[in-house]
Amino acid sequence: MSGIKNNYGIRLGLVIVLAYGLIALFAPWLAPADPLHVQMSHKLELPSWSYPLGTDHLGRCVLSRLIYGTRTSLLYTLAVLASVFAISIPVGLIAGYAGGRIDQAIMRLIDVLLAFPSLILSLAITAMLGPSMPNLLLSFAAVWWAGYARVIRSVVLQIRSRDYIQAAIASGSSHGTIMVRHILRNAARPILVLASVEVGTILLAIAGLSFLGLGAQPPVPEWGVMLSDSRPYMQTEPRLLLYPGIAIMIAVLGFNLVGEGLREQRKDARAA
Amino acid sequence: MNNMLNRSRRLFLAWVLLTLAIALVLGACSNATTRPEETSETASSEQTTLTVAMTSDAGIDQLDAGAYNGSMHVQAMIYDSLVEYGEKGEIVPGLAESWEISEDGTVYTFHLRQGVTFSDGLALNAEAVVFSFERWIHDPANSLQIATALEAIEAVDEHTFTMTFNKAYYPFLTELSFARPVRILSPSAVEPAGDVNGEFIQAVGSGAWMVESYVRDRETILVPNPHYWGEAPEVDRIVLKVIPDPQSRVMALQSGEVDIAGTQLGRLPVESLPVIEGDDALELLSAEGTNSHFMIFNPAVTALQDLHVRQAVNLAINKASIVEDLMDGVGHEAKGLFPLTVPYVTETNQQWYGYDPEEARQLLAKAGYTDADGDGVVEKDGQPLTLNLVLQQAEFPEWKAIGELMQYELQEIGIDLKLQMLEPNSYYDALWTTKAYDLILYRTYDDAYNPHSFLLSLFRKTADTPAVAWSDRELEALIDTAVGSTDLEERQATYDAIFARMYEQAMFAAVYYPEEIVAVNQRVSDFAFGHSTFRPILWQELKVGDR
Repeated sequence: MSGIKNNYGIRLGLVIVLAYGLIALFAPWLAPADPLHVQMSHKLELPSWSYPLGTDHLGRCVLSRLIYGTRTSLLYTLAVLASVFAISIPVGLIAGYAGGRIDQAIMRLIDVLLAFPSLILSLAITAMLGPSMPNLLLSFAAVWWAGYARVIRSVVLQIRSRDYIQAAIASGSSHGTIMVRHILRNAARPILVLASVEVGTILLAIAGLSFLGLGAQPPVPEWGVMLSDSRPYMQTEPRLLLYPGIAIMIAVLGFNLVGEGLREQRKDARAA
Repeated sequence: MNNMLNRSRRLFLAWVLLTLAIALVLGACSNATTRPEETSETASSEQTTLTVAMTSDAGIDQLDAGAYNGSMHVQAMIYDSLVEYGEKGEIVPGLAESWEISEDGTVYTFHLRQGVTFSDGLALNAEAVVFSFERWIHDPANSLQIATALEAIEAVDEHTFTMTFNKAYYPFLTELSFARPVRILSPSAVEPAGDVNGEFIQAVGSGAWMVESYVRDRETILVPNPHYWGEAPEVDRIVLKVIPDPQSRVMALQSGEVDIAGTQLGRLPVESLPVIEGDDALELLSAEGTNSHFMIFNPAVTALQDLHVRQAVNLAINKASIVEDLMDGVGHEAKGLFPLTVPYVTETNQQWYGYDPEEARQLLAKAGYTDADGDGVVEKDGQPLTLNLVLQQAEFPEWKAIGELMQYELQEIGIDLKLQMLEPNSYYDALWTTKAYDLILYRTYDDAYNPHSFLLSLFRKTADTPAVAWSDRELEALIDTAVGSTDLEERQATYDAIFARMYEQAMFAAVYYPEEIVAVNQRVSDFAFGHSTFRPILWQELKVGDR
């Protein structure tokens, strides 16, 4: 019964995510103007046919910047996700499979990292390395892998106690084969669900750090940067704040709907 | 489940960050809606209170006249100087009523005003002046010429003292007008009282104002000094309220929480000027500024050693558009290093590069830069012309937009400009220490420090370090001549030559001449701008009406 309700949410989420994906992919064809073209004579214009959402403080097309901003945001979210999992999957896998002292050592390290609020820690790292997108990526990956590694470890622990793993061990398969073929494959689904739940969070964190000037650097269009650039116009041109704000909100909503939906489905599937 | 808890907490944190950022602006509302302080309307009809917004804390507990701590604006309100800085650098009497300078320009004899007392009732005499100077003048960290060139300071009688220097330097008097560290404080300001090596305990001066109360990072309340020798102020209290965020200052003005916001006490964002203009209760005033914003060329960068490249960068920047379009007409088109409000700058010696992207492209071609691979960036010997521009936003919010505009304009002539936005500490570190920049956006000092002090600190090498900005031996020699000259005509001629040399060699890139802007509530009258950074407002003249 609840499956239908969840499906509805997932479907809406998928539509949103797909739409954003297409916008990012076809940005050059969709954008009505060059997002970097500065035209001081067109500063802060109201929406018109040539600039559907008006122009910003440097006379750049706001819609085009939003569209290209989708590209920046999604690309970096995916990059962060990929690098976080590139660290957390092997670490979680080894900790869960090896157990004993190795597990203990890894888990204590993770506990230390988790003791810090992750966003504050990545903020500090980015500020130290100097503000730029690659540094932002690095700081996120360096801090955020810990939480995921712990979840992956617990998934691995569950799978490890299954009979077929015992069978594989008994039949003399190597550790590598067991870890990759038997455990990782079976852990893929929960990891995928975990990833989809977290996309929204990462997207938001990237926008947040860019808002503070630690992420995307000018002239790259990015939602958080657009938000911070519009801040001085809060009273005179509030619409400039609304556009990137709404873009972020809908994107996060879409990813969260998909993520939560997948998780619910998985729960249902397990309960059944 | 523990993991779920973690996840939701992280989600929550991310939300918090973004909402927090947005709330920065909205937060100003709540700030602004707090009940106004007890002002003249509510307290008593005789007491008039004026509230002024300030960017940062006044630091009253460490506001030593002989140190560089706390707010220099408040320093200048509490402590008097021997001479004061008037319009366009005119030196007018302060605590010193008159003075004589020896023929060779090395001995200064000052005659103090009679009957002056500090706010604690102690009399001001030559001994107190010598005490004030002795407290800091031997500190090797001092770079002021008045400290480094001083040989002796002696009290001759109760109201006369002399200063003997080892060389002639025309801005000695100008330095004496500064807010710090040259101002005079009461011997009772230190513990044990009157001890040159004593520890500073309280801010006691002979100035028009004295401290009534102080809450760190919130507000400082000043009241008139009953013993003040000059004209008594018209208002009974000045409340200096700390409001770090520019948008919040605008909202505090709108709600009537503050009466005055602007000037260097706490700059107003240009974007909000229409809001202030549209408010009937507020009046917007502006005055010519004395500083300018410009770009320093790093002398160590190979590409910038070519005069053609430096000229091309200058020609690519549309200085008029920065004023007209970006800053909504606030400020003036930059035509050199210093605006006309600075001493020795005249209509005739002010000359700079205009806006001509076509000529800029030709100059780059002449320097050997061509766009062979068609990517929009010119190269020489296969090296693309990429320059990084270091700038900061915290102190100068408008620099980001200016930087982005210049980035686009330089792209138009084929220079790839990378913007590197740093927080103030790393920015100043890059400027003074690491030199990790090709171009850096900076500003000239204000009024009393111009032009000599700024030229000396940026364009003149010191004993062990080369000049910060692009300079050459000829310019350095000219600067030395100018500051050592006791003849006004010779000095003017030397400054003419300095400005001409800078133009010839395109030693920096001119960007923008800002203006001083202030918003004043209509209930305040007789507002007048001061003549120096440390006295941005003529406090004594302000009146508060009953509107």
